[in-house]
Amino acid sequence: MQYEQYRHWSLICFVVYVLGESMSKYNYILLATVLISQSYTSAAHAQVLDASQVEAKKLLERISSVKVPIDNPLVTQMAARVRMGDRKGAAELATTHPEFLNTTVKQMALKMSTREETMRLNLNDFAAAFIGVTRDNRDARELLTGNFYYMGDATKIPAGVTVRSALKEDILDSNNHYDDLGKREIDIGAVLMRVNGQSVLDGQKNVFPNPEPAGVITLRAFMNAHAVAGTNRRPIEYTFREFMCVPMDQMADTSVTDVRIARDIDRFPGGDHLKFLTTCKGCHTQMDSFRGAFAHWDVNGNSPTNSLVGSVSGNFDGTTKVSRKLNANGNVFPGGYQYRDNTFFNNSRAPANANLFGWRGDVASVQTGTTAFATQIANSTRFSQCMVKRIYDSVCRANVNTKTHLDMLKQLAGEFEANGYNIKKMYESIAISSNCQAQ
Amino acid sequence: MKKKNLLYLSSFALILLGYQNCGQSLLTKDGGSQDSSSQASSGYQEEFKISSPVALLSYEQVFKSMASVTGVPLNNGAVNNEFNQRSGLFAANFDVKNVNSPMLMGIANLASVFCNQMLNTEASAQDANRKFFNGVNFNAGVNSYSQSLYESSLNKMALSFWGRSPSSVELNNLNAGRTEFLADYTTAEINNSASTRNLALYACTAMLSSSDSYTF
Repeated sequence: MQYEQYRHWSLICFVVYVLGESMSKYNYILLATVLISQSYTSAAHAQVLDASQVEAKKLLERISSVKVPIDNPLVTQMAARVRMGDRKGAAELATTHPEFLNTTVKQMALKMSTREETMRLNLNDFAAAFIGVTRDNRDARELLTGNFYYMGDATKIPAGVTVRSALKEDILDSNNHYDDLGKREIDIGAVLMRVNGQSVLDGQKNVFPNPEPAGVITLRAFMNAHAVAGTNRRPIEYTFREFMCVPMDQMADTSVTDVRIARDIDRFPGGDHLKFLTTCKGCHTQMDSFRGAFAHWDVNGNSPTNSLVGSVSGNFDGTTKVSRKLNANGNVFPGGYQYRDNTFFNNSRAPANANLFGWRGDVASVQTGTTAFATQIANSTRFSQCMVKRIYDSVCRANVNTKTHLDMLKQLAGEFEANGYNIKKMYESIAISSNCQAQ
Repeated sequence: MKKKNLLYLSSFALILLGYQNCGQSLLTKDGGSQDSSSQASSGYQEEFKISSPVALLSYEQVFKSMASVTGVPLNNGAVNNEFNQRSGLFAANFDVKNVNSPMLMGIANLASVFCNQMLNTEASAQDANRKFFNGVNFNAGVNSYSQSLYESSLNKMALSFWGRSPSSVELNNLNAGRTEFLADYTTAEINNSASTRNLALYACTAMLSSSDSYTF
């Protein structure tokens, strides 16, 4: 309670100071006295309320992230379920509230979509896909393996509201479409429609089918955030960070082969090879081994582009079609790896990382492209654990420590997978859990 | 009424109401006591508790919550303009450590605009269709807004904004505000219909900007 008392007193002092500047001496003293005396007011008298309604209201507010009046019709329906002992049914009703998708799921997704990891963003294609997959009870692994995107259905947009919807100008080359979908008049969850088959622009800004679809990570928001400039190591780092809940420093491994570390990494930083062996090597064995999966990607102006389709821009090697930035600064260590295609291999299979990620399926062979990379991520047990952590943090207003509470995450992840990787069901289950109710 | 006194009283009520209910417990209809900390039985409970028993609404959640509990539409121009000006002051996440004075002032400002818009609807509606201010004559001076009508408004706003009835302490504080409010009026001002609306605006703003409205 120490923090609350500090806040209490600091706020009282602030108010007394501000108001005291303009009040007579008598009123100033009176106000200060009353404020100070009120700080010791005893606890409010208990109010008699229907406990089921209170529980239903709290559950609805957790799931929808929005305060609701006690006489909200949905609260009344949920309270009836609670009285019958059917809390799961009450939670299922709660997820029908529009703000579950429009606020709760949207904010969770927005934080995952860019480097800033903030929810202070307009709606984007990444978050729209999350909302759509959740609403449609799809397998969450599609968020990494699927070839689709979600956009607004023009027939469902309210009359008089303009939503720009040109594929090239408003979806691939800008965020116009999603900026407009975020308008207050629009129920995002109700108007979204799934479109199968992602598209991408080539070097001449012509539209082509995406040759390497990987769910939300090959949509504009994520690619623009992480494949712009740089060396295309950031897409690897942030895929692990957002979908495995593992920052790069926690998966660094100096024990595995460095054969894929590129030529731009100095093996003798400051003249010290030992520094490379004990520090730099750890992260680069991981990032550089996977980096080939993004060899054909870059950001051209406002949009991601893939060199496997259409005309190749100057950003890519004319022969191999590999983005030039993957082989930039080749004179730093000419003996390092040179990218000539989009092959990659999983160098996170040493015992520590293998245990951490829980790889499943074929992760031992050399594979090609973004789709295969994302599929490895999606099939891991760590992906499930990370998704349930994000859902738990979202609905319970917590910040679950993935190391100290791994057993609980594993248990929830098992439930998540058993339910077909259904995000909505996981929200419902976690919201009524005793752990969540305690917070 | 002098504007500065309206500001004083609103701020006064804001501070007071923000610190009521610190130890609230609920009596269920069967007479048992329900306290949130007693609900969990899992061994993970202690470790999972966040450092404070409350969590903040984020900036967007504050806006949508105020719309939800007042009935003001999300696309109302006045509230959107105010929100767009103030949203940078509000919390970006749930951590209660983000509470600061500018945030509280911003919430109070936003609440006042929501309340003003809500009053536009209430004042123009038939009495039977009002949600909060049944029986209040907005065309008459504040003397017609009796204490019983006033407390009835407070009860209805509390149920909507806070999900509970106001405690006796809170009622006393808001009544004290009303008394101070009336004492500062001249005879001419008391008979002016604006005084009734001002009193309603004060009560609504104080309640909508209290901590029960922007925390979980």
